[in-house]
Amino acid sequence: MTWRAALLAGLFAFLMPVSAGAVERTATVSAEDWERYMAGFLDQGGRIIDDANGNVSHSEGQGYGLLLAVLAEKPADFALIWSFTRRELLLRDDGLAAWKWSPSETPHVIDINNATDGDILIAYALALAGERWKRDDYLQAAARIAKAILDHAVLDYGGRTLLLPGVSGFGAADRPDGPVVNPSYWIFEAFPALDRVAPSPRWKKLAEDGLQLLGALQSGPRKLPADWVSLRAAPKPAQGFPPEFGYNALRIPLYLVRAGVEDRDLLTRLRLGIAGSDDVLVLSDVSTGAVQSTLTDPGYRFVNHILACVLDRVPIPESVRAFSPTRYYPSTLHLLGLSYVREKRPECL
Amino acid sequence: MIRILALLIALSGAASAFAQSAPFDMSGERPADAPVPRATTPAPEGDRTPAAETAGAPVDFKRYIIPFEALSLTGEFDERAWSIYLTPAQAQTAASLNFSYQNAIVVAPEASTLSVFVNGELAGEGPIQAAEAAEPRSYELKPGLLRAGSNDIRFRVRQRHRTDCTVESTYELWTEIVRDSAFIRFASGDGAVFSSLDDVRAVGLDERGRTQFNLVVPGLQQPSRTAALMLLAQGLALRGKMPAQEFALSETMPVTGRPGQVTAIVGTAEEVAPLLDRLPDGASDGPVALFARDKTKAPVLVISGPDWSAVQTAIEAITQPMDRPRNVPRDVIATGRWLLPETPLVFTNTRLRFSDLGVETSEFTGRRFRTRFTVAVPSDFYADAYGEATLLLDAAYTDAVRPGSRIDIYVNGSIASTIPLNSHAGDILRHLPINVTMRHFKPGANLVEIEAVLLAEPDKVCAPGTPASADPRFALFDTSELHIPDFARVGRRPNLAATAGAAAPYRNDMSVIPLFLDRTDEDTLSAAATFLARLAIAGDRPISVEVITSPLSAGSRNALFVGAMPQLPKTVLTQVGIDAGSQMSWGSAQDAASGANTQQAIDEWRMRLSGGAWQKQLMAFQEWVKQEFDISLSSLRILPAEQSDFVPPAEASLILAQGTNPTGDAAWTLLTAPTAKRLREDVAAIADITRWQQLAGRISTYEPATGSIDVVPVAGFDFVQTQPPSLTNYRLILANWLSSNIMVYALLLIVLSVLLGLATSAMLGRLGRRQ
Repeated sequence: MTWRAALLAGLFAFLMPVSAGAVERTATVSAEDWERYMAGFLDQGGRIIDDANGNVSHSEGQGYGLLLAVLAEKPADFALIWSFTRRELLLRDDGLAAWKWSPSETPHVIDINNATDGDILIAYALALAGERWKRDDYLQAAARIAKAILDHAVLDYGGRTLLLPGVSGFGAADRPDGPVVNPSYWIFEAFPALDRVAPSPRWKKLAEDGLQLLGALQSGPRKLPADWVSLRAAPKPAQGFPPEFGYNALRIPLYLVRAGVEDRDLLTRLRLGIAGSDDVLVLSDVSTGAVQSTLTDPGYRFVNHILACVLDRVPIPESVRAFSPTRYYPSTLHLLGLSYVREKRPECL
Repeated sequence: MIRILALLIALSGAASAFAQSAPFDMSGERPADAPVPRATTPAPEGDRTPAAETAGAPVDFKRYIIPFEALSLTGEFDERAWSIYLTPAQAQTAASLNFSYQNAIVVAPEASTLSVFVNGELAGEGPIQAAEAAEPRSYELKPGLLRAGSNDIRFRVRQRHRTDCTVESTYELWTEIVRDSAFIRFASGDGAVFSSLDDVRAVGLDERGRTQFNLVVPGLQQPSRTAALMLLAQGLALRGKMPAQEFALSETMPVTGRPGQVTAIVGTAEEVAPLLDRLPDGASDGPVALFARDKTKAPVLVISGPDWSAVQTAIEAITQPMDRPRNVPRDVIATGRWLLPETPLVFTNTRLRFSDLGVETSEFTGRRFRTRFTVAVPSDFYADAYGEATLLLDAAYTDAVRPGSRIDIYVNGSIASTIPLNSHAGDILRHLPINVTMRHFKPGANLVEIEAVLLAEPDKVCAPGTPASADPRFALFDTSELHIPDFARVGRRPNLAATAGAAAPYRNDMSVIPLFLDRTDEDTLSAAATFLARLAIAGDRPISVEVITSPLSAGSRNALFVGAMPQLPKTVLTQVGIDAGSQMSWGSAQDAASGANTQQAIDEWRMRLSGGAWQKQLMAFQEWVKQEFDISLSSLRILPAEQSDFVPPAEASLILAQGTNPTGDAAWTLLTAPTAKRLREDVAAIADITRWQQLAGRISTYEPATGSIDVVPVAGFDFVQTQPPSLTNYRLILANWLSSNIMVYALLLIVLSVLLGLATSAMLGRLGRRQ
């Protein structure tokens, strides 16, 4: 516990000057990669398209788009994506974003609920953009969203500070097994930035408790966290959701390494649980450990590559160093991974 | 001590020539993750006798004890009690109770205690202090504490919050016993060996809290044997009575010696001989049912005889003692293996004292007091629309309790009543009547929870030490009573809640139940056996079946149909209200991908086109009426809604459906899945008491991905007379029916008013002086 806290404190200290410095810096997402990504998943109106899910958009996708635009140093594209996000999704009274938008329905917003990871990504990208490009309006927007997250989606429960996956439907009073959390919504790298725009000791507590929680979530023979976890009593897969380490949770290792968490035990455990032969990423049932699918897309495999790089200095394979778009979700992860390796782990390239 | 141990080990070694292997986990080595008992000294490696070493005989063995998916004790005070059955040999063996537990970070260790009771005596207790990682505990059970037969186990917690005094904070308190860490360790492996048929009751649990019976039948696929095998399954199930039992029928031997399993070999002497170490004496001469050794020397139950009719006799001898007259009502239903005390079954006007329901007098110092008991109603219970039970509460509260405090009563998790505690000066309540609606009662066991929410003066300030204060502020006395009035009794068809709760209508059927199986393969037979065994426990008596090959042979008898969907006769699907068009497509991934389902498409289009303004307002109005007055459009109908055929959703993989037979005089129940293998796995899943209790309506579906049960409610039903005709009962039935059909009630009222008016005017016309 204490060493984790120390580690987190280090992490906070480590991230703060780097991004706050806002010195001239090179893009960690190359211009070509960004062009390819835009060609594949960004429409002219600034909408990031989830091409694997009926071409809908979500707040999370917009958040990823904004973040990648910052990492690619493309203020104009950032402004475009932000304009869509603000106009079409930030419709809720509480200042958070509606999570689902469909081009084929009227009204386009088909679910006005929020998804907290989307809100975090948007606020985080806005904070970074504001700091880098000296844009007060971005910083103010980031602060508004960050405050709204603190007020509506952060829950103090049972001695822990938790992130509700959505403002409604996940709390202790909303479900018999509530509160329910999604461990992959803890985007650790974002919390220091959100703390800068909306200072609160709860961000640090949120990060510490999230890390502590990941240490405790060891379901089944593979010792992996489930996508959706009930924290009513001892952590267990939430009712009404498949008990699996699935498409949500597979981002966790990427988020951890991007945030500079160097907890070898945790990363090693995750790596053992998800790596298949030939670096495929394995999704599994968390109660039995049975394999449910093996993901071969380079974007998914990159999660394994990046763990191998961080833990054992294994070079990233030549074939995945160049980015070529496949589907929205794995391609996004791919670029986030590449960006991290270029910036922090050049030795693996 | 050492000498005694050595003697014990020598004894077990000597016995090992006979008892070389047995059910339950009997590895001599303790698994690395098991807690180390404090007082039980394991045999040192070097101390083992050579005989024990070579034969691998057990030095000790363990029995898992937790019959739940998870044992969470929550709030400021909570307890769970259940019983486990021990064989005489087990009861005589020195034993220790071991478990690991973990608790919420906010539980204050200095003010919180976890206690374990065995047969009413405190086996051990300690502070709750495992917030960081699970902590093992081990309690030596003193000699003589355990007894042959049922033994009560009780886990109880008293928990207080570290810092917070609010009622809300009490919801954050939990202690969870790690399921596969909780077991009784017996010092000698002898107890693991079953010797008599009665020992089957001690089958116990595996580390997941499940129980499995393996039936090895060399002539499994002969349809003539199925009926007897189904009877055998029920005979064994009624001995085990565990909360999650499944049957595995096969022609080959499974791996024996696992915890929570009993293996039985069934067949003629000639058939079973090759599977056994030595054929039991007498198997070639007459029916036998006893424990013997298989090829690996593990004990197996052998049910045999010179020919199949002798085997049938042996099976009947096993099942017969479990039978009870169908016309004599039960006074309790057996829930003891997962919930004590056994649940009383109420048929008529009854008063039950809390002390008999297992609720003790308790004084309480915290903020949220909870206690619970169960009470069962019969399968023909029909008072959900108007019936009211009464709690006659004996309780007291001090002047520290502020107005705004209240007592809530929940039935099966739904709020049924609430009363405020409004006195400023405290009060003693003597038989305070609280009306509890019977709306949430269903056939079988019903959970009634009483929760007192106590706001108190000291909690407002919440000075240090307040959460753990020892001043009682509330007391509940066991002289309180539950009064259930006479209620209407009539069966309904279809009604899966009655089938799940009390095996109705099959339990009381005078005739042999026709059982349709599409094939007699291992999977289908295992599924049918698991299902029938669960029904037998619900009805507490075995149900005789006869295998039929065509639905027509069922005639006007209540029948069961078990099989994979594609092989089922169309008439069965039609009768239970399942869309016959989806017979082939359900469960095949291809169809799910194309999503080509007409009904679904029409529904979607309807949704899309229902965007008209007035329609939206109408919907909003309906919602409002439902919310405010609990009146839905369907309750305003005079005739029941036309039921459309049910299209199985792609996510569901098991359907339990009930309907009437074509002649309209009996119930047909169908259990089906896309494949026989799925059927077997999913029946095992729903046979778990937590899911079994959720079965209701006319169709229940099970979704394996999420483990959830979905219920399609009954829209139109037939009454089935279950009681001798009586005016009182008819009046009660009518009252309930009119309460759920308010439109008819209103019409009747109008008709009666008109009649009264006509009668009055006619009478007035005759009376008086004519001008």
